[in-house]
Amino acid sequence: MSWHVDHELLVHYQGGRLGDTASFSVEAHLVGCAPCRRLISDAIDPARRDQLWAGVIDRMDWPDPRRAERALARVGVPAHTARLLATTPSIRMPWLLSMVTVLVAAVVASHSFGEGPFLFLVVAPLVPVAGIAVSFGRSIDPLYEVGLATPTGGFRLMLIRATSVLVSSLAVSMVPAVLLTEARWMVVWMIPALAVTVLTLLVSTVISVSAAAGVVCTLWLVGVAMTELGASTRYAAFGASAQMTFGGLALGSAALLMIRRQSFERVGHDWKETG
Amino acid sequence: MNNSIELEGVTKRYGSVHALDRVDLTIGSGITGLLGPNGAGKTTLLRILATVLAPDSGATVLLGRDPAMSDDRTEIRRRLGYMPQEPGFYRNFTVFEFVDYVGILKQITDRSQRHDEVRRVLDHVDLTEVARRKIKALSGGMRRRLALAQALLAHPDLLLLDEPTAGLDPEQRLRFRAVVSQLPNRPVVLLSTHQTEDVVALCERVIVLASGVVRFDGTPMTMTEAARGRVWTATEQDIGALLSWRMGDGKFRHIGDPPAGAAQAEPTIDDAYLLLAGRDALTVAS
Ligand SMILES: Nc1ncnc2c1ncn2[C@@H]1O[C@H](COP(=O)(O)OP(=O)(O)O)[C@@H](O)[C@H]1O
Ligand SMILES: [Mg+2]
Repeated sequence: MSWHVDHELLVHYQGGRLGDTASFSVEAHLVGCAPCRRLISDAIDPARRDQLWAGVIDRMDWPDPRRAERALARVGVPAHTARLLATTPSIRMPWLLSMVTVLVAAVVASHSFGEGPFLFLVVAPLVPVAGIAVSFGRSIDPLYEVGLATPTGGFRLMLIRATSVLVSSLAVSMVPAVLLTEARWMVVWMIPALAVTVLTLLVSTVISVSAAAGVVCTLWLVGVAMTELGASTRYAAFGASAQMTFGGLALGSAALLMIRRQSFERVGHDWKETG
Repeated sequence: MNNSIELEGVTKRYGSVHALDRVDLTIGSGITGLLGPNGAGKTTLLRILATVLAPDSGATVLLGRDPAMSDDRTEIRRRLGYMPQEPGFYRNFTVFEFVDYVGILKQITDRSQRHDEVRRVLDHVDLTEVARRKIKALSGGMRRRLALAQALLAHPDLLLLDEPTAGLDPEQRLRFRAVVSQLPNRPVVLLSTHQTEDVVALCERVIVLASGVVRFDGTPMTMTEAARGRVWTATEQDIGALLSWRMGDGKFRHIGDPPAGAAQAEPTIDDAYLLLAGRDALTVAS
């Protein structure tokens, strides 16, 4: 290393007046440089030194928490829960970007066919369902078995991840939703989205998560098509009475999910030997 | 506090396969080896003890609690360390991040306490040097040690290790033995293996499992004695023996019933294993 900590830098560092980057490079330097460590040790009182040093070691071992975690911490989510939320596979950038792409494509296609927001409304509720399919479970999570054997267990971890999927899907869908001209289309997909997501979780107690997602997607598409064909007005699948139905479906599924929650605590019937 | 596990009539079937067939066992603190060939039911048994699999029938009491009850199960999981046979990893996590993540799952919520614990277990398995390295850059032996490290978090009273020495070279195997034999507080340790050396080197007690049935339960020494009188040396090959091979000195060693003109030989634990587990044992031994 070509530089050392001089007196001025030291005074600023001690007083906590260096920015994050500068502090960090001083700390990185200290880890490797014994003379500078001594300089610092001599300049400050032992209790404060130990405290500083513990902080340095902590940061060296544990690089910056990811951006998502920091944001969650800022809104009051405990750090350990934030970590569990942030490790959900479907909130990674590539996944979110691909979902935005699909939704924007749906909006554009819908408009060019003169269908208004229709395709967007059909696709948006499937975004969290797809997110669920890639976010937890027997065949997705390499730490599935280790996680099950901890007190957090299967159900709690699933709920945490599902929350993460729902919130991120909502955020992602808002991007194309603001492209829509009428405000009401920005929200009518939300209750259906919640309903199909909870239904997917419920179905995953009897078949694998990915199969459950497939089944629910199909049910949704068929259901929307039947409703639209059978109704005298367009957008019947998103009208007031449909919203009531979906609200009921979401509540009913949630209740059954609570009853079935034990099935998340054991490896399932679809558990395959890996080796 | 009750540090033992008790199984009574535990049975688990997959279709027509009896992975476990009416297993009765009581295991206390100390290191117990679960020895058996591939397909013997070792992983099935360890999964049941790790509370991640429910048996079809039979009674299980782990650390004084019933894993079928949800509150009891959580309590067992608090005191459990589990290293599955094929532990998965988040490959982009660093070694430290990975163990820290499992620490969160184990609900060590205080950050600095958890980080101290992570440092302790990494030091214990000699991975401190690579704490900041990504998992995808680790060797196979290091990954095994990492899987062991997460199981050691929070000083479990029940430590379950599924084939922890598989794929380790001799030096790594010695280091593994040093780690497991030096755990404080004498937890219940159950480790599965198909290597008799592990059992001799490490275990106070050995349980031989084959085709879902307990074939032997005792010390490694008494296990060896089980083969006395059934191991022979002779000058001719014997086709009637369970196993017969030519040794370095040109004589033939037979396991099974004595052939004509044979002399009784001093048994080894391998001989006993073969006799107890039957021909299945050969699929791994050869
Ligand atoms: N999920 C499963 N589905 C079907 N058969 C299984 C499953 N798990 C284990 N088995 C069968 O149960 C028997 C015992 O397997 P296992 O417990 O993995 O043995 P070991 O760990 O001793 O090799 C084997 O015949 C195996 O094929
Ligand atoms: Mg196995």
